[in-house]
Amino acid sequence: MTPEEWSALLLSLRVALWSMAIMLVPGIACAALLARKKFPGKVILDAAIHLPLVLPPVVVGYVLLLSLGRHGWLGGWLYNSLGVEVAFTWKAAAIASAVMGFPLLVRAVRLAMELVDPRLEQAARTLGASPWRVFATITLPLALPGVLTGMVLAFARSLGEFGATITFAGNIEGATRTLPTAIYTYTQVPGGDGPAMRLMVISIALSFAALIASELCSRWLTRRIGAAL
Amino acid sequence: MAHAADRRCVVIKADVHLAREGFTMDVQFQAEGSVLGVFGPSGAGKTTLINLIAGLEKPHRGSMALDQQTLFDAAQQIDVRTHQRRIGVVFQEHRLFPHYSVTGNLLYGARRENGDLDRVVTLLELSPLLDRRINQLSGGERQRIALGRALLSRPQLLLLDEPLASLDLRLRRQIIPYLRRVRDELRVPIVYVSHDLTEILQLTDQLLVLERGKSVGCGRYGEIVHTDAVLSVVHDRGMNNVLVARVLEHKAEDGVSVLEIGPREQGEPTGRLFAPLCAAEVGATVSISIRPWDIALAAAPVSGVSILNQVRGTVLRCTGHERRMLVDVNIGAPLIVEISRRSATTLHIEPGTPIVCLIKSHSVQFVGALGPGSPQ
Repeated sequence: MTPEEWSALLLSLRVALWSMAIMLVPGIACAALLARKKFPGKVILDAAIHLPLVLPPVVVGYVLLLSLGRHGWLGGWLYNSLGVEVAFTWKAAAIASAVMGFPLLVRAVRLAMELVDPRLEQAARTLGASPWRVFATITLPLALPGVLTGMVLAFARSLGEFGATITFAGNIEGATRTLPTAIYTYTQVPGGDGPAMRLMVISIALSFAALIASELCSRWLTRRIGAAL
Repeated sequence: MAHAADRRCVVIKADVHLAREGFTMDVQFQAEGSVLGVFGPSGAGKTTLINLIAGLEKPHRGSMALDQQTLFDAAQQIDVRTHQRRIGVVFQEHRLFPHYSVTGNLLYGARRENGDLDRVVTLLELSPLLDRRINQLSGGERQRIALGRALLSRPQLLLLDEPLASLDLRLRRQIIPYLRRVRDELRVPIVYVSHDLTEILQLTDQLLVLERGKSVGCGRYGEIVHTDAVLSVVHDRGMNNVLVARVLEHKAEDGVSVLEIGPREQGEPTGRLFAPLCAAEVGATVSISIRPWDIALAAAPVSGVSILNQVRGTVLRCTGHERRMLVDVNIGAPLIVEISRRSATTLHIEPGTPIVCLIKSHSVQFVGALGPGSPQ
């Protein structure tokens, strides 16, 4: 593998891991809200979270660019006050991946939380556990297989994310060229078939490994938890 | 054996209203005691009442207080949250946490600095279970862990919502003695919900009777059963006398065991009571039940009958209801007897009359041992 191919692979992994780090806490929080709370505007929150799933990825990337680019309302502030530039850096790729993978994470976690028996949560409350403790010791641990599934789905989504990334982060070699954009670039140049093929195999292997690992992990967790249900 | 005076009593005052689709709850009562039994047919609102006391459901109107502490008051906008109420609950289903070990479950609500674990483990005989996983426990064992878990959170009141409903008869009989220990040794006041009156009467005679979301009576069983409202709920749903008795001897060749009724400290041994041959050891204390309509009354001892038990007593009270008379007879312990109005008129039964209760030995049923581990 050439240094360019290596750099695309490593960047993709870095972007995927960072996007997961960004979305994990908000994702679990949104899932918990949707699974357990009734509040006005719930439908709207639900729809907003799922929007990236149905929008063309380019649109998501463009919205991000408009708001987080140097001239965007948020991006401008970040640049002027903190000196942080987001657009067309690997950070942009991570954010684009996070936004695109967010609905997948929330869906999986929410489903898992809805399956947690509320009667167990009630029992914990009668034992003196505060709502936070109930969430941390009962709801979240019992929903863990779902959290794991959601994370893997989002991770895999991030590895494959193309449209939003190329719009918001660009396709700069060594800086924002992830696996999919690299593959796309190679297919556009003469003699790029070899590298494109290699990266394709790596992509498939990575996604496959992630799915299998999550399935095994989830089974193990379910056995541990579910055996007594 | 602990004396009744050692038990911790609690006063529960409730006046709550709750309307749900297809169900309205409107309950007023004030109860005091170490164990309050809540009885009613299914759909009467027993579980709802438990949820209201525990704070798992919120009444639409009214107020509720435990001793001096207001738990809920709609007018004053007080609603103590469940986790701050310190009210332990054992639910119909065990509700143990599947991702915790047995010990983890027991200690979930434990206050940090206490050494109660050993005490509860000993009391409920949990030590053989501590190393097991939740899914390796039987139904009865799970309920004992759930009971231990609730106790370790040091509740000021323990709510038991038909904790035995999911168990078979044999297991039920095994668990009631543990509940008695909780009442007497840990001195935790209990609200015990059941649709099995005999089960409740083994723990207490203080009763709240619910029917269709309303309280139809609250007080001592022997007292409130004389009201038409309570009698109509209780009569066809296992109305019973539950007595404490000691096994004096077994007469295997006659097929009977000889018992003595009533706690000894009350004095006045009440003579003997023949019962079907039982397996309990001589000297053991047992709970027995006798149906009110299985007892006949006579003005004087009768000769030449097959009925073995002729117990002398005094009429305390008698009340007439539609077709029947309820007569309370003191035989050292209070006994409710049901006879027809005609019999009552013929015998001239009125309070103070000395009377003889005729009880077939086979009408005496063993409902449970008093101590855990004592054989049935």
